[in-house]
Amino acid sequence: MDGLDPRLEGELRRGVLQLVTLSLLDTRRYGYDLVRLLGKAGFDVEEGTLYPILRRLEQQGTLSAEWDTNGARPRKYYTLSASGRALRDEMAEAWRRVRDATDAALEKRP
Amino acid sequence: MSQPPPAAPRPAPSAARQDYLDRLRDLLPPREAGRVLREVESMILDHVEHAEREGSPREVAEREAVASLGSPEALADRIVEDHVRVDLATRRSFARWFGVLFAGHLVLTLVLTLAGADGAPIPGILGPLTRDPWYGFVSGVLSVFLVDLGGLFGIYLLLGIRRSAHAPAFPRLRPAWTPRDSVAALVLLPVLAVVLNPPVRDSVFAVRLAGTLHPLLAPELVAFTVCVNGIIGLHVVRHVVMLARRRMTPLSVALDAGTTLAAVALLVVMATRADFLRLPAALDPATAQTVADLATRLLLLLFVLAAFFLAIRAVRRLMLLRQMLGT
Repeated sequence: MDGLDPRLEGELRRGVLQLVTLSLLDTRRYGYDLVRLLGKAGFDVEEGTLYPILRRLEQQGTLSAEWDTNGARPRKYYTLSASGRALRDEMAEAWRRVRDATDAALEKRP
Repeated sequence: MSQPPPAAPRPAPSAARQDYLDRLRDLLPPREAGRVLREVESMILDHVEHAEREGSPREVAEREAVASLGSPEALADRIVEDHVRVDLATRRSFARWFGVLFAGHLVLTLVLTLAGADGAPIPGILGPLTRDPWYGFVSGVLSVFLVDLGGLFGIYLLLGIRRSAHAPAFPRLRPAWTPRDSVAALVLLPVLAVVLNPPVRDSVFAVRLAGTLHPLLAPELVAFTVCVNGIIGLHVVRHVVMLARRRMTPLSVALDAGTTLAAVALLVVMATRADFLRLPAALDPATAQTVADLATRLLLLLFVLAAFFLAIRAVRRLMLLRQMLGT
């Protein structure tokens, strides 16, 4: 086998995409800015994947969003709300537990 | 949630972007569409700006930005988060009800056929089948099948069972339009008006007998000319509005829906007239009767078919109008 199937790695990364997105939204950012930052962080994601996530998080109140109309054209910025910060911290904690459990299981391999 | 921004100048959309946004609009609930489209378009423009800064030509950048959104169908599914699927229980319930309905209907139909029933107890739904020729019988069974399938499907639709993700492609509400279409219409509509009005009408729809020109259209049909002119006039206004705004607007779509509905009503009223033709008195009575019968049937078929397709068009325009107004 020539290395891991990229689709499998993609599935692993998709599982934590929401957490990574939340972790980048301590400061306000617009959608395409996030796409680029996620790419630099090793999460190649397209707008068609990210936009529905941002929209859902906004509807849930996890993100605050506002249109900035000061530029050449309006642009929508997202940032973590208070409940979003709490959710991000809880998800980060859950992630660490999953990661530790996964590491422990991998170390016990015969 | 944030309020949408006020309208701001924006670059003219490329065909790829406009087509994508139109298709996405068609798929979204009207109340959501305006807001989602503003956000998605803003994201496309951010992508384009960035790609242009990195040296991509604008057209290529727009195509890339649109491609990065995936198909409008997939995006709409993810946005609405109301994946419409027909679950196993619904499918089985549909199949079972259909089996019962079809079997019962077919048995009743066969009984009526074998008993030699004269006439249909429920016209169009329940009645004896033709036994001769054989393909008339097969066609009758197929009709029973289709009536039951369509009727049950309609009931399930009314009960809220919606299309599955793998259903046939969603029909587009917004027709493709370019200024050239309106220019062509603004040439053709006056030509049509000229043909349908005297004196050209009385020369075109006429026969020459013994050196005299006899207009063929019955006065009952000719009386509707003023209505036809009104409809043509409103279509002209619609195309002028679209040309002035360089796009379809709620006003142009409302005019389209209104004139189409008026045309449907006109065709139905015209189809109910007693006479369509006024044949020359000099014509042999038997020949005149044959010609009148043939022409009446052809015109009736034409009116009914045209009214049917125009009614579908009117409904689609009303749905598009509702979508554009976001109601």
